[in-house]
Amino acid sequence: MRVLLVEDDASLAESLMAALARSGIAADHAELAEEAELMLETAQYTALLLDLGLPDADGLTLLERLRKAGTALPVIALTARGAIGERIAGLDAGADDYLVKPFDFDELEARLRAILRRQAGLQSGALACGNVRLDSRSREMEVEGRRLAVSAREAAIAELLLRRPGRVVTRQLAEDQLFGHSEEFSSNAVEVYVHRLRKKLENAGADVRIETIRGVGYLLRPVD
Amino acid sequence: MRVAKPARLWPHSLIARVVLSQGVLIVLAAIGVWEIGGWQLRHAVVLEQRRVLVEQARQIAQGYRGGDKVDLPPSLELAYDSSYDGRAFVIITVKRGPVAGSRYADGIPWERVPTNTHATSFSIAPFGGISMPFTHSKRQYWVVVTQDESGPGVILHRVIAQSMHGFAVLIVLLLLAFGLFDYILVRSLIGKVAQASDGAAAIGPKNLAARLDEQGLPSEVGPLVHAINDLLDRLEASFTSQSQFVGNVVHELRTPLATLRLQARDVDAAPVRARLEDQVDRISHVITQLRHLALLDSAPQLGEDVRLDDLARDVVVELAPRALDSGHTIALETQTPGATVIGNPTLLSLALINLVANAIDHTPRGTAIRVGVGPRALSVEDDGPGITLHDREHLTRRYWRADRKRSDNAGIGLAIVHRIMELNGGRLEIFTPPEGGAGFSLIFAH
Repeated sequence: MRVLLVEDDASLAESLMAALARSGIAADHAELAEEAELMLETAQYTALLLDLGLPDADGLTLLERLRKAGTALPVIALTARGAIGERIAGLDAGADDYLVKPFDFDELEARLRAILRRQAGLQSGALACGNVRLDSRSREMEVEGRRLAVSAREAAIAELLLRRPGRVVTRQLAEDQLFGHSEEFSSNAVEVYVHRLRKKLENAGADVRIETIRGVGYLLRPVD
Repeated sequence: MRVAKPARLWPHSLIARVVLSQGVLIVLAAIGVWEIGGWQLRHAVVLEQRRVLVEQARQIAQGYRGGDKVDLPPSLELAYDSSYDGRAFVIITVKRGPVAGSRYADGIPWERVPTNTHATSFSIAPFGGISMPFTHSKRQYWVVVTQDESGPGVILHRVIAQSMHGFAVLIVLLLLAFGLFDYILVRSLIGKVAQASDGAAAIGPKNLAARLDEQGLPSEVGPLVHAINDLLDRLEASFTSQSQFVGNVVHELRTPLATLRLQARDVDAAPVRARLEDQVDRISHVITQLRHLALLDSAPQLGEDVRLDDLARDVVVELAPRALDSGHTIALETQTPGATVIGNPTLLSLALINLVANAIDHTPRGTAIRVGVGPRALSVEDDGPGITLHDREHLTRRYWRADRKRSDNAGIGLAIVHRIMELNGGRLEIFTPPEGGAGFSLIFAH
């Protein structure tokens, strides 16, 4: 895989390039949006690390242009603007993820790898977190390489959670995904399926756990 | 401690000053007009009486034929034939005393009458009159004409006095009318000034663009209001540039901090590296809060309908991973689904995020955090160690920290929450939940 870093600050770019190299991630560096566009045309990248505060064209503008052109390239926005509204603007413009400076490099690496895994998973249909794997096409689940028998709805919930490991999946979203608009379901239906899936994962010795955020939803995270 | 000011005789209020000085002026003017007017009238009467007496004395002197013989004009003859009004005359010489006189001249104290070379008024109670020298057959005589000053003829004095009373009332009423007019005039002018003051009082960081109305102000106050508007112009410019400056500084600092954070990875000694990273994170947190503080004072208070349940859910979704990572549990309890308030959604989110982040950062592992949604209220409770009463008093002060050694900053966070609620017209309340721990409520006014 090859990552393109677009960052105008020379020191930060240098440190980031060094850190990426040490983590075994091949990367190129562009200082300006214009330069980045040229490089994106000529080479094949697996992800884009984009500073939103570029001197020539705002990173957001570049991102919007890329998305309008139909590029599916995963983008992690690096922003010095921390205000909530500005972060949301970044995500709206088509960033897959964002990090506010100063960020932890391990965090960046993890998000980068998650995005890349998701990319790979989209192609193969495989989702994974810890020792849990799910083939989203066949809906077959595995824990530690052993097959885990789950119902279609349990698999659907597992897919929702595995697509957003470490992030909250709201109950609203789960209901929308599990049941059609016309379908009748009881108010604790999702809770019931989650409970069953949680038990199955526990019994199978999974190293991830489904946490309940009462009143909000669920979250998949590694067992402490 | 405030020291009570001694009572002041001269009031601060302009209207009170005008009324007070007008009152004093009215009293002085009434007394002055009464005294001077009365004196002038009396003086005029005295002069007139003297003129009449001098005229009569001249006629008497002309009518003197020597010896005790006096030829009077018929009008005078009649007047001096009665004792009415104490009217009498006598002609005297210095050596021989009276030589001729009217019928009732006996009472005239001629011995004490002045004998000067010119007509002289005298007043020997109860008589008043004049003594006027004249010569007849080369001899020097004085004709003395008197009038009883207590007699009914002097009724004129009383008439004057009476009319002066009426006059005085008229004067006082007139002066009071002037005073009232002045009061109304000054009041209306002061009213304009008070309007300008109200306008000035309403101007804050949020509406620095507002200016005072310079229309209809008295020209004496106009320059002051104009100067205030000029001051506001400069203040606004400086405020805006300061707010932008803070924003730019924070923005500019983040990139070098990111570099620093990355370079800290090169430090081999793990404890040193961890400390470095902590310090960078702390600086980053402080400058973020700084940016929020600057943003608060310049952010427009958008009057949007904000759904409290959605807002609280978004905040919990954003912070739940952080809460779980630090060993806390977090839950949302929505008592009133669909409840809305009016406010700036970004700022209200920021307020709740600060409260939840404080609960995560300031309570030990295992603490349960509950975010509550009520009608016009959001709350964040925890079952941690709670806040002492002493700390509570300081909690919303900017830059205050419950534990000064701690490398976080609940102080700024709560100050921001406090300020957001202030701007929104609501308030931040700190309470102790029934099960113990700490509780913070955002109470909205509308």
